[in-house]
Parts: sequence; C-alpha cells; structure tokens
Amino acid sequence: MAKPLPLLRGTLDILVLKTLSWGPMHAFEITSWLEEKSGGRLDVDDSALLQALHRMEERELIEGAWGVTENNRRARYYSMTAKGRAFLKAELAKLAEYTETLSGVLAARTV
Amino acid sequence: MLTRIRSQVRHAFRLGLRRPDIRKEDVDTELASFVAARVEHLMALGMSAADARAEAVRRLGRSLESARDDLDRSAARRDRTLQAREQLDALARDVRYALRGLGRKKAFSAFVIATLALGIAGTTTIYSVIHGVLIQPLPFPDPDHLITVSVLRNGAERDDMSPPDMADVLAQSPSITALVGFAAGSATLTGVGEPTVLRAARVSGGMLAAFGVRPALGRDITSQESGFGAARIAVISHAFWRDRLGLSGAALGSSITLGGTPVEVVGVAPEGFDFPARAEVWVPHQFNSADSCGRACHVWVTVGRLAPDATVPAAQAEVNTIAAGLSRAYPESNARKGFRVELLQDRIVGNAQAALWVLLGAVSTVLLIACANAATLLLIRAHGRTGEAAVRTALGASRSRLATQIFAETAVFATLGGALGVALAYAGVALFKGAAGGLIPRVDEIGMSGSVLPVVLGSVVAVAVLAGLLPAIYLTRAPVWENLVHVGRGSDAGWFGRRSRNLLIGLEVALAFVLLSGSGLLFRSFAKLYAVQLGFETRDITRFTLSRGGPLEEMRAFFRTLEDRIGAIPGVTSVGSVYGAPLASVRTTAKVHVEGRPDPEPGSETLAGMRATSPRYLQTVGIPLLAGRTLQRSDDDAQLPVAVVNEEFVRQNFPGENPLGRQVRILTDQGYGSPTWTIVGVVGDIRSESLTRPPMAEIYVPHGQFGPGVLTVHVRSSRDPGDLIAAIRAEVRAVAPNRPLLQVETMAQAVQRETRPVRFLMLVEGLFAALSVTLAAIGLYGALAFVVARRTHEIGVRLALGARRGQIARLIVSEGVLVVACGSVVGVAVSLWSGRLLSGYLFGVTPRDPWTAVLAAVALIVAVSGATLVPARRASRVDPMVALRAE
Repeated sequence: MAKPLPLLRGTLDILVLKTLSWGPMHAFEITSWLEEKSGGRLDVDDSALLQALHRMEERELIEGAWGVTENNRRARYYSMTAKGRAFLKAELAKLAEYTETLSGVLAARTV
Repeated sequence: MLTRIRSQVRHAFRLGLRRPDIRKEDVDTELASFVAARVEHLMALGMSAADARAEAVRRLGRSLESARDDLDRSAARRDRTLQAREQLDALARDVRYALRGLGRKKAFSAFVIATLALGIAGTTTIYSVIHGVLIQPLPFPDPDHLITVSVLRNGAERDDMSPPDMADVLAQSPSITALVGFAAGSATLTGVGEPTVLRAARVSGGMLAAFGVRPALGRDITSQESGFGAARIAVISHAFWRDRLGLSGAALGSSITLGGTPVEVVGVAPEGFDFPARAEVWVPHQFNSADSCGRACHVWVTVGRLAPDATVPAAQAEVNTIAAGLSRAYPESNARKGFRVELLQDRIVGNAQAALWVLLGAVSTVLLIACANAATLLLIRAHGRTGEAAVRTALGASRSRLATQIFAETAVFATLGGALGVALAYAGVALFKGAAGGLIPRVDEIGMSGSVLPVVLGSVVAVAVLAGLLPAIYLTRAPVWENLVHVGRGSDAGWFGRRSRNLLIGLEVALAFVLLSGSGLLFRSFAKLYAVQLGFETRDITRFTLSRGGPLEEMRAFFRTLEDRIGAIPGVTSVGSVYGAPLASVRTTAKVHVEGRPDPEPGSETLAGMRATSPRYLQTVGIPLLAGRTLQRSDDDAQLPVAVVNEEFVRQNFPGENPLGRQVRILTDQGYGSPTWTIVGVVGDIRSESLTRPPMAEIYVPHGQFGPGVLTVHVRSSRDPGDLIAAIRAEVRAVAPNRPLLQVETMAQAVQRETRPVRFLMLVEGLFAALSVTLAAIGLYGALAFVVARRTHEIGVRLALGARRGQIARLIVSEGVLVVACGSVVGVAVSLWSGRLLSGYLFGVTPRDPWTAVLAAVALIVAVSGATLVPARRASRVDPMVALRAE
C-alpha cells in the first residue's frame, strides 16, 4: 500500500461535496468512497470528517437527515444543497486554475 | 418558498434541534453508527471483532469520549447558527408578510398607523416639553447647588426676602455660601432713539458669581455698590450689547440713561444670562436712606449657592434656626415668619410642574387607547387567521413562530407610527411653544432633541408589544383540531377572543372616561371662573401704567393734567387712576390699626390692600358705592386725610359697627407715611389679586394725599381700543415726551390672562378626551361589526324562528352598552384617584365632583353607544334566507 497523502487545507470540503454529488450518503459511506477512489492514499481522520460534516451543514452546503442503513442501523444521510453544488463548482474551477498555473510555473525550464 | 419547505422538513425530522439532550443523543447515535459500520467493514476484511473495534477507535483519534465531545461541540455550533438564521429568515418573512398585508388593507393600516402616530407624537411632544422645562438642568455650572431662599409666612404664604433677613441668613448659615437679591422691574432707556422700556433688575451684588458665570466683558456689580447711596452703574445683557451697542468694546465705561439718570456700563453679562424675567440690564438696588428698607420690606427674590458638601435639607434646618432667632429678636417684623430653601430649578418650574405631568398622563393615556384600539382591530383580524394558524401549526410551525408573526405586524405598525409620530412631534412642539408662551417657564429651552429618542423607541416597543399581546395569545392558544375543522366557518371568536375584545374596549372606554372627566372638571372650573363676580367692570375699559417720580405736588399736577387731557379725547367717558390695579400683580398690603383700640399683637394685625386712587377711579371701573361718599378731587387738597374702604374691610375691622367717620392708621411695609385716615365711604368688594382668591380687605385713599409715583390709568370708552391707545399715546407724549406706556391692555385682556392657564389645560385635555372617545367608539364599532358579520348565520336562524328585528338590534346594542357601562365604572374609580392631580387648576369644583362624573359618563355612553347603532341596524336587516343559504 502506498504511503497516505496528508490532506491540503480546505480540500476535505471539496472532496466530501464531490462524493455527495453521487447522491446522499452517511458518514461511513463517504469515508469509504474516498478511501476506495484514492486507493487508500487519502488520510482522512474519521473524527475530522464527522466534524467537517457538521461544519458544512452549518454553512448550508449539505443537509443532514436521519435514515436507515442496509444493516438496519439509524444513520444520518447527507445530501448536497443547491448552495453546496454551486460552491463545489466554483471551488473546482479555482482549483483547476490554480493547478494549471502552478504546474505551468513549475514546468518552465531555466534558460 | 423553498426555504420554507426546508424548514418544515427540518422540523418534521427533528433537525435544527433546539434541545441539548436531544442533540447529544443524536451525536451519540451518529458516532455509534459510524463506528459500527467501520467495525463491520474491518471484520469483513478479516479482522477479529476486538481488533476491528480497537482500529475503529484509533482512527477516530485519541478516544471515543474526546471524539464525542468534539462532535457535540460542532453540532452545537451548527444548531446555534442554523437556528439564528432560521429565526432571522422567519422575521424577514414576517415583516415582508406584514408589509404586504399593509398594502392589501390600506384603510385599516392607515387608520391604525395614524392613531399610533398621534399617540406617539403627543407623548413625544409633551415629553420634549417636560425634558426642556423640568428635567434638563438649568444652564449654569453645578445647578444642583443653585438655590433660592424665600419667606414663608404662617408656614404657608410665600413672600420675598427683606434685605436684613437675607444678610442674616447668608451670615449665619454655614451651608449657604452666597445669596443675592433680585427685584425684577423695568427701566426707561432714553437717548438712544425712541424711549424704550427695558426689562431691568435691581440687585444686591455678586449676582454673576452666585450663578457661577463670568461676565463677557468688564465686571459684576459688587455688594458694596448697592444699598444706601448706591453707585450709578449698570451691567447690560449680552443681547443688549449685541443689538444696541454692536458688540463694541467701547461699551465698557460708556454711559447710558436709565430713568433719566446717566449710569456707567461696567460689565456685560455672558450670552444667554437673563435672570430674572429675561432681564436686559442690572443695576444696584438703591435705598433712599440707610434704614428705609427694613425687615418688613420684602423686596428680594434670592438666588444663592450651597457649599459643595451641603444639601437643601441641611440648609433648611439651619435657616429654621435662624428664623426662630430672628422672630425672638424682632417680633414686630419677624413673628411667624419662616424661611424656605429650595433648589432654584424647582422654584422656577414650580407651578408648571403639575400641569405638565397631567398633560403627560393624558397623552400617555391617549397612546394607551391607541394601542388598545390597534389590539382590538388586530384581534378581530386574528380571528380570520385562526384557520391559517391551525394549518401552519399542524404542519409544524411552533407557537412562538405564530406569535412572532403577530408581533412583526405590530412592530411594522409601531415603527411606521413612530416615524410619522416624530415628524408630527416637531409640529407639536412648535404648536405647544406658541400656545404655552407666557404660561410655562423656560419655554425657550424646549425643543426636539436626542433626549426624546429613548421615549420614542420605548413607545414604539411598548406599542408593538401591547398591541400584539392579546392577538398573539389568542392565535396561539386556539386548539388546532377545532380550528382545522372550523376553517372559514362563521362563529364568534370563542370565549377568549370575546373576552379579550371586550376587555380591550372596556379599557379604552375607562381611559377615555378618565380624560373626559378630567376635561369636564377643567371645563366646569373655567365656566365658574368666567362667572366669578369680579366686582368691577371689564367692558370698554382700557388701561396702562405710567410712572412719574418727584415731589407729591408735581406728581399730583402731572396725573391731573394727564387725566384731563385723556378725558377730553372724543368718546372717552371717564378716566381714573390707581396704584395697585386689579389683576395687575402689584401687591401693597398694609397693617391696619383702628384708632381707639389697643394696638394688635405683632403678627396678628389685620391686613388690607392699599390703593391710592384719583377721584374718578372707582366710578371708572364701576366699583359701586354702598354707603357714605366716594373720593373727590377736593380731598386731594384738603387737610383731612380721608379714605374709602370695601365691605371686606368693614367685615374684618368693624363687624356690626358703622365704619363711617371712624379713623384708621395704615402701616405699609414700604415705609410710606402713616397718617390717620377718616373713613368716609364704603364700596363693593372686588377680585383684586386673582379670580380665584376671595376678595381681600381694601382701603382706597386719595392719590393726591399719598403718592406714589406709579399709577395705572383706566380709561372708559366705547371706542376701538387700538384707536383709543393711539390717541392716548399722543396725549402722553404731549405732557411727558420721555415716558413710555407700560402694560397697555384692556380690562378684558387682564381677566383673560387669569383664565389662560385653565383654558389652555382645558383645551388640550379636551382635545385628548375627544380623540380618545373617538378611538373608543371606533374600536367598539369595529368589534360589533365583526360580531354581526360572524353571527349572520345565527341571526338568520333566529329570524327564521320568529325573532323580531327589534330584538336582534337590541341584542347587538346591549352587548356594546354593557362593555361601555363596565368601562365607565372602572373609569369612575380611576378618575376619583386621578382627579387630585388637577386640583391646583380647579376652581369651584372638587376633584371628585359627582356631577362631572355623571355628565362624563352620560356623554361617553351616548357617544360610544352611537357606534353600536350602525352594526345593530345591519344585524336587524339580515335576510334570513340569504343568511341561511350562505353556509
């Protein structure tokens, strides 16, 4: 297994929103989706994720609602709000521009 | 719309939770289900149960407990934020809703806002006045230590201080560090254009220092400069300096002519200083001889300062001791004479205080009625909303949300009413200052300022809460199920709705009654004042005051010539002059000694008003001769001093005896000569001091035998007063070019001046009363119209079953009249108590005058019951078929 990558500041919200763009999920579904997609290389602290969900709910990027899992357990299902969708779109654009600029600068050869 | 649905969903799923224990439970559940899912996942990968659990906890961070605490904190913060946002959203929504409702029900809203605006405007106006007059401290340094000391005769009658008493008080009272005497008067300025009368004050010295102010220029008058052989100097006001001397520095040391005597200007008072009575010039008080103004010579209004650590009660205790010592040492002048120490501010505003508080009470009552009225109308409207409220409650809206909606509505009403009210208050303050000029002290200091802001805001909040309280309770306490079933069904508003509606209208009626009975008392006082037997005539009499000093012979010749010239003016039928004219606030009381009787004990002499008259005075003003003869011109020259007395004088000094031919000695405070007068006639009593005071004993003596140099000339003529005064001025100018006419007025104006305070208060209170009765009537009308509309079906049934239309009308009327009657009973009780506040302005009626109460109740019941007639008529005209089909 490859060494886990530390998360950059502020990227957790984007990752969560991206995850939820697939549909409402509860917290463990979100974290296992992220683990699966990153091949286990994203090191997301469970406690931090749960708190991030509350914080994002506070900012009305996502909405929580009680539901029942396939194992018949009560869990909070989170879904993305319209505000969250717009936020994700804007952040992704910013991130893309940032990465592009950064890699452009780093790819420049010294003359 | 979307946010609304979301908030209801949130509610349905217990999201946005408010209670901490539920939140904790939810955090636990979420954490537990997360950990359980993690454990299942790890076990599926092949871990043992114990290892999987340990790993799950490890990945949460330090421990399960600390993770739970962190989560609880973030959840708590989330809930707080969401809740606040939701409330803000709700509020904004309510305000928008209220504003939309405002637009929909324009007449209703305009009416409610207008009444609230009137109430707030009235309260703000009167508060501005109270602030300017009563609350705002006097514009001098350390006004809490600025005092006045006055004489208190027999423990009740206030009088001015005599110079020796004042000196003793200052010397012997450690609490009083300064005490200055002022005597307001006038002085004729000549040599600068037309002769003008200045408002002048004679002072004892050190006046600016006592007030704690510095002269703008030059110096103060010192105490060494006043008294016997006073210096011929003057201090002028800043306004005088600016308007007549152009702020010139050369004013200092220059000479102005006051009363024919040149005086040197030694100082200019600071800007705005005009004590007493808006004085323009101050001169040292002058006595004719070293002992001419003794302890019985009460001429000083005093202003003083307390030592920094002294208090008014402490100073009062000291002057009490001083007064006791003086009355032992000088019984003939100081027996039963006490002193009273007061804050200067209290003394200045003294009489106006009660009136202003009465007005504030009255205007607050109007505001309260406006609130009750708004509440009544909102309550009626709330009934139409019970269905909507029930639906919303069923969908999860909390009761506080429903209440907030009502309060948002009243807040919008109150805010708009407040804004409009402040605008109106500007006009109100200007109006009040115009109407109350001369009636209330410190009028110039009244104005709208930031200090009224708390009152305006307080009124707005109070209005919003008071007007919304009952409608809010009504709407939130209604049972949901019942209202869901009855949505839109016609019935009265239920027990609570009916009760609160009747309560509010009863309250309006009671308050209106209080105002009505108050203005009734004032009206009756006014009517009685108007009907007072003055004892003299007021029609066709014009008068003015003129002074002419000099030896007695010169004075006599001057006034005789003047009277003859004025008497020759076409249309003038009679001319007579007097010193101590009726209702002119000139007091000259003297002690009476009857010849042939032992001298009375000091302090127990009978007193009489001293009047020096020209021969035709009594005839000119129409004081009737009852016995003997009146004064004649020949008396002036005769050697025998003769006098005419009034009935009251006879009653006090010669009860059951014939006064004619008896001799009396009159001892005046001012140290005039005291010849022995032989009584030659008896005349009728007059109200000489004020309309409300019973006639006092008076003695009329010939001016030609007695002096003094100031006479009020009364001219009887049916000519227009304006023309007449012009003609009189011409005659005065011919004989005395430098003598200005003072206090030119008709006798009727002099009487009106007396009735003005009561008249003013009566008009204002009457206005408030009319307003409140109108509001109460409108409230009752609205309520009954609502009842009729709601009970149309029931009325239809009754009619169909054979009820007569008269019975139906009576049903509606009786509902209204009952409320009005109950309100009136409460009103009577309150006005029995509140009437006392008016007692200082009442004349001839007691505050508990039963007739006024009866009349007020009848007037109120008639006026307000009128409001029941239209709804009653409408009820009796219901068509049973239409009403029954409408269901």
